[in-house]
Amino acid sequence: MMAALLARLGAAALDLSETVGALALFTVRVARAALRPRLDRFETWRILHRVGVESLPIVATTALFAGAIAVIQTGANVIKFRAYDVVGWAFGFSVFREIGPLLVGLMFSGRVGANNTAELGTMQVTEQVDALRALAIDPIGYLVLPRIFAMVSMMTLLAIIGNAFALVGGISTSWAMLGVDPWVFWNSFIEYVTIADFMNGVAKSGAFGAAIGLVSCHFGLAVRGGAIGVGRAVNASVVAAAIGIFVLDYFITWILK
Amino acid sequence: MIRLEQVTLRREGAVLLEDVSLEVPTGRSLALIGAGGAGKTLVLKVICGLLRPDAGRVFVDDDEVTALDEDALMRVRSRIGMVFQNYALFDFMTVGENVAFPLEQLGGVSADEIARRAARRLEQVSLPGVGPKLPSELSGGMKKRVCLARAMVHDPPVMLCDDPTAGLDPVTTNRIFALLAQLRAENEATAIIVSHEVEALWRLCDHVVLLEAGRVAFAGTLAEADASSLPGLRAFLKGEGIA
Repeated sequence: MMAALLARLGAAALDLSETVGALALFTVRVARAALRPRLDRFETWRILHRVGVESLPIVATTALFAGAIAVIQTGANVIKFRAYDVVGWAFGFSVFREIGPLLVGLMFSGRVGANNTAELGTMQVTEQVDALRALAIDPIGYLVLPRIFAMVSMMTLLAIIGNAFALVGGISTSWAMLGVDPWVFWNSFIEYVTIADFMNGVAKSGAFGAAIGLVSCHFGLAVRGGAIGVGRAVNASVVAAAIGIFVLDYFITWILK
Repeated sequence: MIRLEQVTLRREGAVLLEDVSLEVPTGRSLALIGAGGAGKTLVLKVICGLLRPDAGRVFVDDDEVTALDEDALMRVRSRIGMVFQNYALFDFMTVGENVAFPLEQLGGVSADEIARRAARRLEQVSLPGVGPKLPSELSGGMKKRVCLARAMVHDPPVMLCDDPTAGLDPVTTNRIFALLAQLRAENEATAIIVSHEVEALWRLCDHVVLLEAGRVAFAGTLAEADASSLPGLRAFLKGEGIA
C-alpha cells in the first residue's frame, strides 16, 4: 500500500520534472529564435487578429463584471462605515492590480491558449509541422514567435481596455447598488489610484501573455497520438497555464510590492 | 546524390530501422517498396533530417545530414521537395498560398513570378483555377496533386515522394506518375519514390530497394529485381507465394 503510494508519487514527480524540463528547453529555443526574429507578416497579422480582436468581447465582459463584483464585495463595509469616498480607491487598487489581470489572464488562457494548443496539436498530428520543417522553415520562428508576440502585446492592450470596462462596471454598480455618486467614485479613484497600480496590472498581463503563449505552444507542438493526444494536450495546457499565471502573479506581486 | 550508411533508428525501445544502407546517384530515381510499417516513410524522414537516427550516416549531395544542426539542415532542406503521404497541406492557407509558400519563404523571387510559377504548377497537376479554394474543399486526389505542386514549385534537385498515389483512382495515379516523370525530366532531380504501384514505378525508376521490418531485404536494379528469387520481392512484384 505504502510502496504503491510512493511509486505513484515518484511517477508523478518524474512526470512533472519532465514537463518542466521540456518547457524550460522550449523557452530557451524560443529565446534563441527571438534573438533573430523573422516574423512572417501574413501569419503575424492572422494571429494578432485572432488573439486580440476576437478576444475583445470576452475580455470586455469579464472586466465589466470583475469591476462590478469588486464593488459588490466591498459594498457591505462601505455602507457600514459610510466610507463612500474610498470606494473608487478600493476598486482601483484591487481590480487594476490583482483581480482584473488574473481573471482576464484565466479567460484568455481558456480561450486563446486552448485554441492555440489545439491548432498547433492538429498541425503536429497531420504532419503540417513536419511539412514546414521539410520546406526549410523553422516552426519556432514561423509558428511560435508570432503567437507569443501576439499574446504578450494583445494581453497588454486588452488589460488596458479591460481596465476601462472594469471602471465602467465599478462606477455603474456603486451608483446603482450603493448609491455612490459617480463623481465621488471617480474623484476617489483619481486621487488614490496611482500610475504604479495601473502599470503593475499591465506588467502582470504582459507576463501572463508570455506564459500562456509559451505553455500553449509547447503543449501543442509536443502532441503525440492523434485526436486523443490533442485533447490531452489542450487539457494539460490550460491547467499548466493557470498554474503558471498564479505562480507568476505571486512573484510579480512580491517583486513590485 | 542520396546515401544512407548503416542507419539505425530506435524509438521507445523498438528498432524501427536497422542497418539501412542505400544510394541514389545524382539524377537517378529509386523505388522504395515494402509492406506497410516496413519503415519507408521513416527512411524519407531521416533523409530530410526530420528524424535523427541513433546510428549511421546520411548524405544529401556533399552534406552529411546526420552531422548538421537544425540551422544548417535548413540549407539542405531547401534543396529537397517532399510529398507527404497524408498531404500535410496548411489548412489555414488557400491552395494557391500553399503552393506559393516555399517560394515566398525562400525569398529572392518577385511576387508576380511567385504567382506565375504557382499557377503553372497547379496547371501541370491539372488543377487550374483551384488556387482560391481551401484544402478542406478538395478531394483526396486533388490534395495529393496540390502537395506535389507545392513540393516541386521551387524546382528542388532532390525529390522525396511518400506514396504520392495512395488511395487514388487509376486515372489520377497515371496522371501523377506521368507528371513525376515529366518533372524529373525537366529538373533532372534525384528522387526516391515510395509506392505500391509497381508497374508505374518500373517506368519511372532505375533502382529498387525492398524494406522488410526496417531492414533492407533487397537492393539492386530493376532487371536484378525482376530476376531475383527472393520470396519477399517475388510476393511484392508478382503476388507469388500469397495464399
